[in-house]
This record gives sequence, C-alpha cells and structure tokens, in this order.
Amino acid sequence: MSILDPPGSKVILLGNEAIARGAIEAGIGVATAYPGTPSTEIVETLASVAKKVGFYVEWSVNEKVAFEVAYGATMCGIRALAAMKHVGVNVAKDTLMSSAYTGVKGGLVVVSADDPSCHSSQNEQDNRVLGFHAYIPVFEPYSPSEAKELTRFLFDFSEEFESPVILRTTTRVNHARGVVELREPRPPRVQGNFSKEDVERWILVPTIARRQRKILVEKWSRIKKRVNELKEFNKLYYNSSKKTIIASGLAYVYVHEVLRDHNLLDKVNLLKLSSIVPIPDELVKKSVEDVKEVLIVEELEPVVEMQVKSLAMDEGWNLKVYGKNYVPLIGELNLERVREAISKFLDTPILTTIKYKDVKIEMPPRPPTFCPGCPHRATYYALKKFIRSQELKPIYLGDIGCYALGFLPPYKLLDTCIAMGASIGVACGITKAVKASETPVLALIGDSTFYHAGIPPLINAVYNKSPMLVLVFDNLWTAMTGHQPHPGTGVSAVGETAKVVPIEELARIIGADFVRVVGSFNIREVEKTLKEAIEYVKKGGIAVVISRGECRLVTLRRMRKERKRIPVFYVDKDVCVGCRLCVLDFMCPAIKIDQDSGKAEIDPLLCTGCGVCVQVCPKGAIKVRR
Amino acid sequence: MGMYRKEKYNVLVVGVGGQGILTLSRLLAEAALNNGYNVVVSEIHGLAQRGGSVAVHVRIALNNAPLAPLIPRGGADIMIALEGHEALRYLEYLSPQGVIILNKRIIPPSVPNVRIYSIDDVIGIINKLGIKHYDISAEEVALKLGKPYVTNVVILGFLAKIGILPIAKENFIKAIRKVFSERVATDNITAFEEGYKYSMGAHKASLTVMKAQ
Repeated sequence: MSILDPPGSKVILLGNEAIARGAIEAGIGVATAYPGTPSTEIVETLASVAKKVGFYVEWSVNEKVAFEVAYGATMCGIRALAAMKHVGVNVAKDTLMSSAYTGVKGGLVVVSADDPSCHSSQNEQDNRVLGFHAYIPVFEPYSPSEAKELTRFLFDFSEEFESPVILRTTTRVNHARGVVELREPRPPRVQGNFSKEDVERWILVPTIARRQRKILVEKWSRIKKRVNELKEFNKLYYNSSKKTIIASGLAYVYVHEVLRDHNLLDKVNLLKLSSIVPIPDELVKKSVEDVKEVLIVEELEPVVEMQVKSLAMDEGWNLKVYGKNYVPLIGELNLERVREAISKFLDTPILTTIKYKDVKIEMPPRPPTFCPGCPHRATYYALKKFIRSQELKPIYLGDIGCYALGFLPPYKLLDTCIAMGASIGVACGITKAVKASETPVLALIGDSTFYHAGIPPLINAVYNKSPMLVLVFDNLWTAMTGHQPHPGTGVSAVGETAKVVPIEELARIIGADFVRVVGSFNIREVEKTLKEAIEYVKKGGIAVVISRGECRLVTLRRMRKERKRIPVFYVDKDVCVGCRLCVLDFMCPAIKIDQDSGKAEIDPLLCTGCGVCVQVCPKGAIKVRR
Repeated sequence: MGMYRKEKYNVLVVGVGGQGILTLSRLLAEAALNNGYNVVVSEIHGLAQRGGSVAVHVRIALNNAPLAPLIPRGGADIMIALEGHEALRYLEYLSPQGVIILNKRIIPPSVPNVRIYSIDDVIGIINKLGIKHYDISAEEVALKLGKPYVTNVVILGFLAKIGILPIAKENFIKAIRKVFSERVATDNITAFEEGYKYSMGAHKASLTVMKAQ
C-alpha cells in the first residue's frame, strides 16, 4: 500500500490519498466524514490504515455530526480531520460557524471537496467564499503533492492560531493521481484531556459570544499577516514585466502549462497562491509593483479578484484588474479556457491556434444507469407496475443517491431531486397544497440518506399530519460513493461489528401508520406491499415501505471471495416472442435485442445473476444456465 | 527505444464504467513513474461512473514542470478505447497525429431507440478520417484465459508491445506487482503477456507514427 511506504519514497497517490497521508504525517488522532464525491477516499484511505497506524476513524451519520466529532476531539488537544463534499459543508455549517468563535485546541482541518462542473453534485457552489463568512482561513492546493504538504502544514497552522482551517479542494485534485514524496510521520496523538480552566470559551451564550467575536476579529488580522510568510505555498515569479497573472489553487497548473508551452514564462509575472482567504496582501503588493494590468485566474467565484480589487482601492493603485470578464464563471477550468483568457490578457493570438479533429458524428448518449442486478431497478419496476395498475398520478419527491437515476427512462419516476433528505421535507409541503386522496405524495429516499437527513422530516410529517408514502431504497450500504457502511450495515468504518439501527424500528417509533420491509428482488411482493401502503396514505396516514436488497456489487464481491458460483441467465429463443418488454420497461444493461432475430439475449459478461428478469418476462423465456 | 521523444505524452483512456478503465490508467501511470517520469491522472468517480461513459486523462511528462490534470481537445497522442462508441465520442480529443488503440467491443447504451454502431461501423469511420489505429480483440484473449476481468490488462500489454510510449516492458510488470495483491498480480501478468504477444493481423498500422510530430 503506497500510502504507508517508507519516508523518502516517491509514490503515485490519488489527491484524496495524499490528503490522508498528509494527515498521518501530521499525527492526527481522529478522522471523520460522511461519504460524498469527490471527498470520500480521504477517510476511506484513513480507515484502511487506522488500526495499523493507531488513530480513530469513523463514518459519521452526516457532515454536521462528522464535524462535531472532529471538533470535540480537538477540544481535548487531539489533531482531527473532517472531510466532506462542498454541499456537505452546508450541513455542518451551523457548528462550523460557532467553532470559529470558540477556536480549537488540537489542529482541526476541514476538507471541503468542491465539484466545479457538477460532475457528481447538485450544484457547483464555491466554498472558498466561506472564509469571509466564517472567519476561517481557506487554503487550496494545485496538485496531489501540494495537497499532502498543505494538509500536513495546516494542522500546525490551525494550532498556532487555535482556529479551524478549511482545506478547499476540487474534483481535479481529489480525483487526480500524481507523484507525491512521502515524509516522516509524527506519532499519532490519540490521548487528550478536556481542560476546565478556560471552559468559558466553549459556552457561546450571548455575553461570551460577544467577547469571542472580538477575539476572532483580532485573530483574523494576525492570520492576514501570517499568510504573507507562507513562502512554500505562495510563490511570486517576478521578472519586472508590466503584466501579472495571479493564479488561485488549481488554476496555477493551467496557467503555468499555457505560459510554458508558449514560451511566455518570462513575459509576465506570475503569483501562485494557495492562501485564498485571506490572500497574502504584502505578496500581492509586490507582484503588482510597476505593473499596470493584472489577471486573476480562478475557478468559479471571483474570490481572489474581489480581494485584489479591494486592496487596490485601499492602496490607491492605478491597476486594471481582469478576472471574471476573461475567465469563465461557470464550470471548471481547463487548458483551453485558460489559454483563451491569457491570450486575451496578453493580446497574443497565437495561443488559440491548436486544431482538433472536427468530427460531427451523432453519438447515442450513454448516461449512467443502474448496474446489472441493482435492487433499485427492481424496486422502480415494481413501483411503476403498481402505479399503472392503480391508475394513480402521484407526485414523486426524489433524493440524493444512486436511486436518483430513476428520473431517467424507462422509469421517469422523479419530479424533484434537491438535497439530502429533502424528499420527505418537501413532500410535507406538497401535502399541504394537494389532496392526498387524488394525488398521493411519494417520498423516495435511500437508506444512508434516511439516516443522514430523513429522520427529522419524517417526525415532522407524523407530527404535522402530512400523509405520504415514504419508499426507502435500502441497499444496506452508502453505495454511490463506493460502499461505505452506515448505521444499517452492521459494520464500522474499520470493519468491526457494529450495532444496527433498523430503519423500520425508527419509522415505527416515530409513529408511521404502516411500516413494512420487503425484499427488493421480489417484484410481486413489492407491488403487493405498495398496494397495501397506499390505502393508508389515501386515508391521510403515513406509510413507510422499506424495499431492502443488498447492492449487487457488494454481493458479487462477497460471492467471488467465497468462490461461490454466480448464476448466469439466458433467453430461450424458442420461447421468446420478441415483445421487448425486458428491454423497454426493465432495461437491464445485460439484456439486449439481437438485431437479426429481434429476440432478447443476455450478455453473460454483464449478467450478475439477480434473476429479476425471470419475473419480468411474461412468456417465461428467461432461464438460468445449468 | 530509438524513437523521437516528446516532452509530454497525453493518453486518453475511454470506455464504459465497469470496464476497468481506472485500473488500466493507474497501471499506466505507475509504469511511467517506474520509468522515471512525472505523471498525472484525472478520473471521475461517483454517479458518473455507473455504467456511463468514462474518460480518464493520463498525462506523462519527461520533465518536472507542473502538469495540468486535463488533456485539451486536440491534445491526445494516444486514445485507448475499450469500447467502440466511446472511441467515436471522444475523437475531438485526439491530436491530428494521434493514434487509437481500439478494443473490438461494442456495449450498446441502455437507451431506447438510438442508433447502435457495429465495430465495423466504428472502424470504417476511423479509417475514413485517416486516423492510425491498432485493433485488438482483448475480450477474446481474456475469455481464453477464463478471466474476463483482465481484458484491460491485455490491452495494456498490447500498448507496451507496440512501443508508442517510451516505457520499458519491465516497468509495466513492476506496476502490476505494485497495484495488485500477489495472487491477482499473477493472473494479470499472464494477461499482460498475452496482450504483449497479440498479433495485430490486418490492421497493423505504422510504428513510425509518433516520429512524424
């Protein structure tokens, strides 16, 4: 395992593994997260070595709890890391804001893994902005290598100022692999103590909060000075040119490569920043000495640009600041976009002459889809069949997880997909606007999402009488992010047996009128249960149906490990009538229509042996291979 | 290796989620590092991976200058396509002198009523555009070994053989040993050797193609 190779080794690490390694080198005692792309592998990696190195790791129930666990440990002088995706920070923010007021004792690094271009997210919010709002310093690395070094350093920085620190990354660092040089790890600090001496700082009642606010603002001015000294991370390449480019975080690699490719490195001054909020003002000042024009290259919001403009105004500089007028506000950067921006700024048209094959071929789209054997496909198939048979016109409130793919054909069964847990919460509002007897309201939510943010809105639904059918797509894992365990799995982050908190027990104790668990792979049972459940909803009740079937990828992995035979199904072409129901309504990637015979066939390389298609075929043409 | 050496090589690995694209890319990166080069790989995980179209950017530099994570359009020296439709989908990334290693495999997208291309259609289009390509039936090789999941490593062996990247064979093998556990590594080294031995047959393209730049 590369991450534990000896100090001095040069290894290839995923950005997230590099962050994990940085935390190990800094001697962390506690690491927490709720999984979320592109942040997941940070804590996944830490979990895989936690026992060996000797620190604590957990998958927390959501980001707020993850942050609180890490924060609590730092109160006792332990170094802790909490990792989350950008929208997860929204969930943690309540406590995060307060943590700036109280400060911390042990170093606390919060990793905010942002996702410009929304590769795996519902928005592309730029969490660098949080620095201003929370008075928490924000840093951004440009590569896996710098991500490791920054993580290692930020624990020291956090302790120096007793302030939490945000390490902001983006998909192209989290999910980039690069060469990283390992350094000597510090022994993990795992034993702390909670001192009662200055206990007041943690008690944010108004009188103390007002005092802490003063301390925070004073601390911020010291941080502003200090970031000017971070020469390892903020670098000025000054060559007395009349123009300067300032590159924030990841933008540095794009800017550097464009300048290098076109022999422009000595034609413009370049300031590389990893301290993003606050920026190192003295260094920025130096970078624009005798300069008339500056270009800020940064992804998404003009965070550095606003600070430079504000500084220019304060200092009375005669400086033209270019930024979002040349660099796109929407979507991630790439070499082409940066090439175009620099070309405009330097007025050098040669930069845009690279040709690529201009081929216009109409390609069929290949959207992500449920895997062969996915329990969610079976549940959606049963749900759709049930809806048709009842001639119902429900409103479907979706949620965040693999099952969000139910919005695609052939199911097309989602009317919303907003945020974690929002299915049930939004459903409560819809029930106040439509009649349940005519338009039943369905909240479709996954198991992990239910634990994360589905419980309070379900309590709300019961308490405030919001009739709905909550259909839980329970595949027993946080599957979309790569199968992390959760409170329903029975396993901890480090693979130890854990207590199960059953969703059905929660639903019963909360007061749902009808609660039933049904096996996802049994279409008739799911249908039958939904039929029973909907009667409660029509009468103004709350029904919770948990469709439970393990993610097939996990089952397959286990079967292979145990060397169990995985059944493979085939279509008996003598029985198949070519009705295409299995393709049009069920749409398993393993089933396709043979162009010559017009009959279905199953790709044995893709079939995972779930056998649900046997229940789908009206002619009994699908059989198991003996 | 006696060939013209560029300062950096851009390799785009494309296919369908689940075909082992991330692993292939990772092995290539490890092999490049073993050869003493700087390397960066850009991946997409999560929802986008579920049976969808996947493209991984592998960038190899013979110097230590910072490397951007993404290949620009028109910048890929080599495209390794594990599936036919995906080869066509990402053609705009190929440089005018770029080469395609095409796995002769079609996985129809799970979308109703769309045109499905046959592998001959795909090869026809690539030929018409005048793109150099090497074709391999890697699945067949993997199935003969009784291990369909080593298809990606068969392709890696083939890549090593045709020598369009300045990476020594033993550095690929070293990479396989580094990435996999011992038992899995043995299967994969066999697969790599089978790919290395693979005879290209009729579609044998010119090995001088990289020298043209």
